[in-house]
Amino acid sequence: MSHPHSKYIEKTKQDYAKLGYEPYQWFRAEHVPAFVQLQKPLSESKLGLVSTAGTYVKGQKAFFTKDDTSIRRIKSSTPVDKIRFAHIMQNYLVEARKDPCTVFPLEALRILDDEGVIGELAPEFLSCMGGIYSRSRVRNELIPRLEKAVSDQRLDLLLLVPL
Amino acid sequence: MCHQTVCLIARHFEELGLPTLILGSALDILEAGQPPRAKFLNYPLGFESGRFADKVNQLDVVRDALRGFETIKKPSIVQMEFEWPEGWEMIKSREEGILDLRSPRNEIPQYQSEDDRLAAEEDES
Repeated sequence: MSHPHSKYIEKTKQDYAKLGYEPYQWFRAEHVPAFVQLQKPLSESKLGLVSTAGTYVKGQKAFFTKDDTSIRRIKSSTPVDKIRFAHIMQNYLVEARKDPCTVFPLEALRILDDEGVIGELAPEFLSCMGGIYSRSRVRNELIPRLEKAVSDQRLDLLLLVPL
Repeated sequence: MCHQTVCLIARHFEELGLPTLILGSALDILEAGQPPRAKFLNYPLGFESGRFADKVNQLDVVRDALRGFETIKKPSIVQMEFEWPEGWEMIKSREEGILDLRSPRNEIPQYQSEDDRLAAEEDES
């Protein structure tokens, strides 16, 4: 039997009420999103990755927890054992810190690239600490940084994996 | 919160003409954020790209997710068929009480280990 999906918005509301906080105002899209048809198949496309799990590589500066809007560039050839995480929701990273591929699909993407399922992987994957409470900071600080990094790589497709 | 952030990012890049796809596990937040393309994996948070130490499952999940680039023809969130086999309650116990078990919010880099902090400071110097 399927497990019912968790209701995170309602749970957060209840948690905030217990703490005496006003409910968090989640983003609720008012317009249908733009939708671009693919110009070529996945097997001929260059694929990029954005992880919002606070992923960094040993040797890089870790993320901080208060609306950090910086990004890290992670070579898609990085050894998995060099992958680290720094995120405000650390309790969700217990397993990922032992097996980073539970939230950062480095090995699977490399295999699918080798198999020819993916045309090409971006030389650098991108990451940020997605637990940013301020949507205006996401729009005005984080997204422009990602946009610059993405435009440097001339991607055809972008995969996003949240925590 | 991460699922909200990726919805904002995906909507933005799609507006710029770059096709996007989210592989996520918080259905209600995705539904609120209406991304262009999403695959919903009904696993606990922290396993968005597959089960712990299960390389077969991780590959299957990512392979199936990527198919969404070609099979999703209009804005939608498609539920994947993978089932979390056991231990959901154990994993969920970390959410009991307060879900938002966030770390203190500050501007101190949260290194995974002291060794990582030293490695980063060495690279900076």
